[in-house]
Amino acid sequence: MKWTLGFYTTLVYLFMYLPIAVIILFSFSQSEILSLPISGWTFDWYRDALQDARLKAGLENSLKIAFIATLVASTLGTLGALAVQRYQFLGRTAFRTAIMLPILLPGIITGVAMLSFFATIHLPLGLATVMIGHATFGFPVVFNTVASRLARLPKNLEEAAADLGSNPRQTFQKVLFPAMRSSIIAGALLAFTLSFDEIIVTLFLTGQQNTLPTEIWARLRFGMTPEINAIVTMILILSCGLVLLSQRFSKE
Amino acid sequence: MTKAEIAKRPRDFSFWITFSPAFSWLTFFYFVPLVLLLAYAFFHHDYVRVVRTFTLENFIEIFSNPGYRNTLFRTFRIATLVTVIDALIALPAAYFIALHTGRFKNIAMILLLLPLWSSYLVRIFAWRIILGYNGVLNGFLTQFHFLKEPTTLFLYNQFSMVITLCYIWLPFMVLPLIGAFERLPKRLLEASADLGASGRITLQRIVFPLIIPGLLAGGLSVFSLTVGDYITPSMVGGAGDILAGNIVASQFGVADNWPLGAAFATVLLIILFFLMSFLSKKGALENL
Amino acid sequence: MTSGSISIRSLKKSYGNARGVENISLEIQSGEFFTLLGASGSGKTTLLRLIGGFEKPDQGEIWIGDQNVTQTSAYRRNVHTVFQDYALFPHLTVRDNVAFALDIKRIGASEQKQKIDEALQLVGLSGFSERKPSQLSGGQQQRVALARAIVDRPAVLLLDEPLSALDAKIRQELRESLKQLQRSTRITFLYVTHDQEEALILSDRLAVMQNGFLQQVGTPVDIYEQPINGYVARFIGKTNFITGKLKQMQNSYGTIQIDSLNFQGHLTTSLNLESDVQLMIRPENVQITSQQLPHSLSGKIVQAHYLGATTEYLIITQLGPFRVLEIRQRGTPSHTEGANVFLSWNSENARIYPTGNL
Repeated sequence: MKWTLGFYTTLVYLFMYLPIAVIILFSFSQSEILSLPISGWTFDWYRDALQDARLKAGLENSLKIAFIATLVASTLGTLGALAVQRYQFLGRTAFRTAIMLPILLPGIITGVAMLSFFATIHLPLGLATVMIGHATFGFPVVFNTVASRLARLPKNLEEAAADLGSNPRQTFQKVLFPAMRSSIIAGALLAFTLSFDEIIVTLFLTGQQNTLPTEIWARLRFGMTPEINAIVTMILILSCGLVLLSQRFSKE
Repeated sequence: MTKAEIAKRPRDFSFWITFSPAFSWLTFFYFVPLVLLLAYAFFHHDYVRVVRTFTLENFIEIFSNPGYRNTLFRTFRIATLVTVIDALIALPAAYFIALHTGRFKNIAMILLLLPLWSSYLVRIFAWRIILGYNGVLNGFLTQFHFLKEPTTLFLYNQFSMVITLCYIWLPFMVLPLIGAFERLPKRLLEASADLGASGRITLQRIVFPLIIPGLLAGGLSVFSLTVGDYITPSMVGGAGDILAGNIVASQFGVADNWPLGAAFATVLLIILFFLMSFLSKKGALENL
Repeated sequence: MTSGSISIRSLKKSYGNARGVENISLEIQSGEFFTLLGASGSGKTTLLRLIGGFEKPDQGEIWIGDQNVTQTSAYRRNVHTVFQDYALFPHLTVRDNVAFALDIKRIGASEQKQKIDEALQLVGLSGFSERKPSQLSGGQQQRVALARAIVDRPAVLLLDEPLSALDAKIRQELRESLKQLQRSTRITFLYVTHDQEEALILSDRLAVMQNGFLQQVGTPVDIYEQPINGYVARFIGKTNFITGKLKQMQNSYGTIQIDSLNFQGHLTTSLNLESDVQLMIRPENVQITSQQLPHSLSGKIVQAHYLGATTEYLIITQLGPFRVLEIRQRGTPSHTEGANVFLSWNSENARIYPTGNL
């Protein structure tokens, strides 16, 4: 029974990694057309990807947006989690559900709703509007991780700190914030990745400038080149490093 | 005095500091836009511009035009299918990862999350490489003489769309299920075995009922993500296999009929709200 | 060290429907081990939290030493608390948990080290200073909570059911440690529990609380031997009750009558003749005899539990079930199950309460 399940789980993992293996494989393929048989191997696509100005600009925009959106989302998520977990107020459950809506409802709803909104207030589309969109679905992501950490903390942690002589500011600095810190970082990393890879909302809110996903999307219409495989492979390797980092934090 | 009463604190200054930013952002950038979207759904569209008069014509159009109606049905049929397949794939795997991976659990979890960190678009595209005429699957099947020559049957149809959707959203089903299996009290399983229950009965009577909230949470995510996806259908689906998301996207894009797109989005919203309010009673929302 | 006396004056706190405290006045001496004993919902934890500064009273005053701290915030009070669930800081090591109060007071490193080592030694955790709370057992966590709370020698230590989450063996060990710790530090301990045995063993004095009121304050001996009412008598130790009508009062003794039987006992409060009363008698004060004596009660032994030094009998009498505890030096129990016996007691050991006060 256990071995059957183990074998089955291995198959599930293979299913999950098959496409990724294909991506990596074809990033080294000489041919420009992504199909079998592979005629020869090359690193050229990596060189091309690193020299491609439009991909670089997209990457830069994506990083910029993800960074600011994560910052906003982490602040909002942490504060929201404190409000929900530390205070009792009218409509608390409703507020909690409302915060989760941007990730419960499909991204396309967020996208078109915000598009309607920005058009109504005449805010021109651009990196700023994409950032606002990403912060809005990053907020529930951070909220979720921080709120579940807060729920697991001893109930009277802050009372214990006050009891030992620390004033409210010291209590936050020395006890509450350190106890939440790793969950904030874990939530922020997740929000960052989601933003970095987001396309469904982004396509509605972006202006002239492309993010990396919208740049790739634009190219995919004319068929993909191994250059994209190369950049995706590089990003995957970088993400591996980030995941390992986040694991260290969440282990605390 | 109960614990809940201890947690109840006066709503002082510090409460408003934590509450207001979250509340304001959510209201201003999410709920006001949602309300605007609803408003658009009742506006009139006369070829080039939006006329702000109340009308039900967009909804009448959606339900009377067989093309739109069929797309709605197809969307919910495919979303249900994808959710069920993902649940079937995920249940045994999540059980194994949560309870039997021992010290390798951390690695198993990392490996589960890692695909989420590589481009969503490119992973969808990878299925084109796998399922295409000169693709990996055809190459494999002809190499080993299962097929005489490659077939075009694998790509650009509902089959490829369902496979890709199942693949893309699978982690969102596995993760809440692992959480649910981890929360199962070990002693409960032992107690059940101790009372003479066989493995299968323990699974049916004890394990399954307790993981239902996790299953529903994962199911809600997968369903909702599928309903809103317009990228996958346009990349690996057939010409006639568009989903509701594609219609919304094109009405807000090339077709430029926002009121109709908004009405379509409103229909999706209403259906999802009914689904969510039903699932929240079963505890799905606490298990995301 | 400042004086650790606590003076509570007409304190009142209510929470809508939940149990608060009602007009409580209480004086606790510096260096005393004082226990608040009561069932859950009796208001004992509320009283503790009022003294700790986590709640503000509706009325009344709290004095610690010569300071009125009624409106003082928790962090300005020279009072520390050991919480029921310990409330250790999960991100800090044992040492840093214990160092917390010293850090806040900006005490120098060398003095800190000495105080922390001393506190950890007092609770018997010297080797554990670099561990995180999650790596400790429940009993060890409780010891860290204690060390953290005594490290800077507060005037008063509040303990909120600190042993209730632990299993019986560790509870007994820690009970001893607590008593020793209190003796060696002379910090005023205010201890909250619902466990009457714990209260009797540990306390110099204790207060029994019910429904937000103090029922009785006194030494363990006072409270066990002279419970002020039926509630206290039932709450502390085992008791037998006979209900009847008060027929006679003489000096401080009364006679109650039930089914034409008469029994005498101490009057605890002024009562009216012919009123409904109950007579309380402790199981160890009842004698079992084979022959009938004056004022004795006949019955049949239905259970005899041999416990070594003592034997516990359950006897069904004409007035209902009776518990009797027989203490014997040696030999087998003097009575067996099924025997018909007579119960009698010295009327000095019996006490009479009004029935309204159950």
